[in-house]
Amino acid sequence: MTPAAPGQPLAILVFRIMTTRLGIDARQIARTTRLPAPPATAGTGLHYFHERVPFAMAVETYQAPAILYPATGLGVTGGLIVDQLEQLQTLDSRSIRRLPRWLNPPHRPHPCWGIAMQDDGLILLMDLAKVLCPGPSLSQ
Amino acid sequence: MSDQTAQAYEQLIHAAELARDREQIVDVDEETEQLVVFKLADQLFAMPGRYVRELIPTGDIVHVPGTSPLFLGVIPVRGDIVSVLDLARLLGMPPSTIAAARTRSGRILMVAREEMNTGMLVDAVTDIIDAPGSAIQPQLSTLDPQLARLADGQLLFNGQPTPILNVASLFQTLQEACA
Repeated sequence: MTPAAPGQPLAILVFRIMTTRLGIDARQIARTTRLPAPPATAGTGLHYFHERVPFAMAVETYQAPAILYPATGLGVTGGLIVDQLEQLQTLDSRSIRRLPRWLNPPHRPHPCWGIAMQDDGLILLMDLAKVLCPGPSLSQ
Repeated sequence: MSDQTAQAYEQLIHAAELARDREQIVDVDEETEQLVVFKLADQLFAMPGRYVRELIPTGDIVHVPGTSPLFLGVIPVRGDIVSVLDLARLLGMPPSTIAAARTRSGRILMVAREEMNTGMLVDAVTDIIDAPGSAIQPQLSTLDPQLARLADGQLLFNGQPTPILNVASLFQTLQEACA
């Protein structure tokens, strides 16, 4: 995922897993569906976010789950289950910083391509294609 | 007491006073090294001050999922994003948590050497001292091997042996762990 040109606005769909705020470039998302309860995933092609990008602490359950479906042409299929979906936010690309080098070794690129610095905290910007790409999750 | 005995006694006292004075003389030309003394799990450590750019309150550390457990997360520092290392875990001590980091005394040491830099979480900064070279001793051979690899001598701070961490070794270990 490449950041927008400096000064260019970037539409980001923001969600939370526990207290961490994460975002995905809206151009990578075809549609979203909000759900009343956490769904079963076996054989559905759906993946919970924390199963693809593990958290250091245990993620018990999702309070307000939603599914993000990837845009066609992204090269991945299926759906990503996230939690506490917020509204679309427009970010100034100048507020986006890179992940520090220790957290992003070159041989194992992290799906977080940048961190947006907002007045109310940081948003980790994730590449939906890398999160959903087939194969083992980041922890394996 | 004879005069001779009294004279010998006087000489002895004078020699003892001279010896005592000599012990109190401080060598003002002796080189000193600035050391940041800090606590981790009630244990004292020191780090050369020339590598510590600043000390900042822990604030809100944001966890980055899917990264090495050696890192607690990231923090914004004056318009930039800096990683925060769990120094306790790197030293083989019980790991810290972001929740525990939010104590009043907790601090992040902003450590930089050559091209490398990171924040390092400590429980409290105890002191910043100018230690004379003579106060820095070789580390004890009984020091925990994992810690011994990352330390470079020790300081007697308030009578307590305090390992001085070697910043180059810390970064090298980090590089190996993250490779």
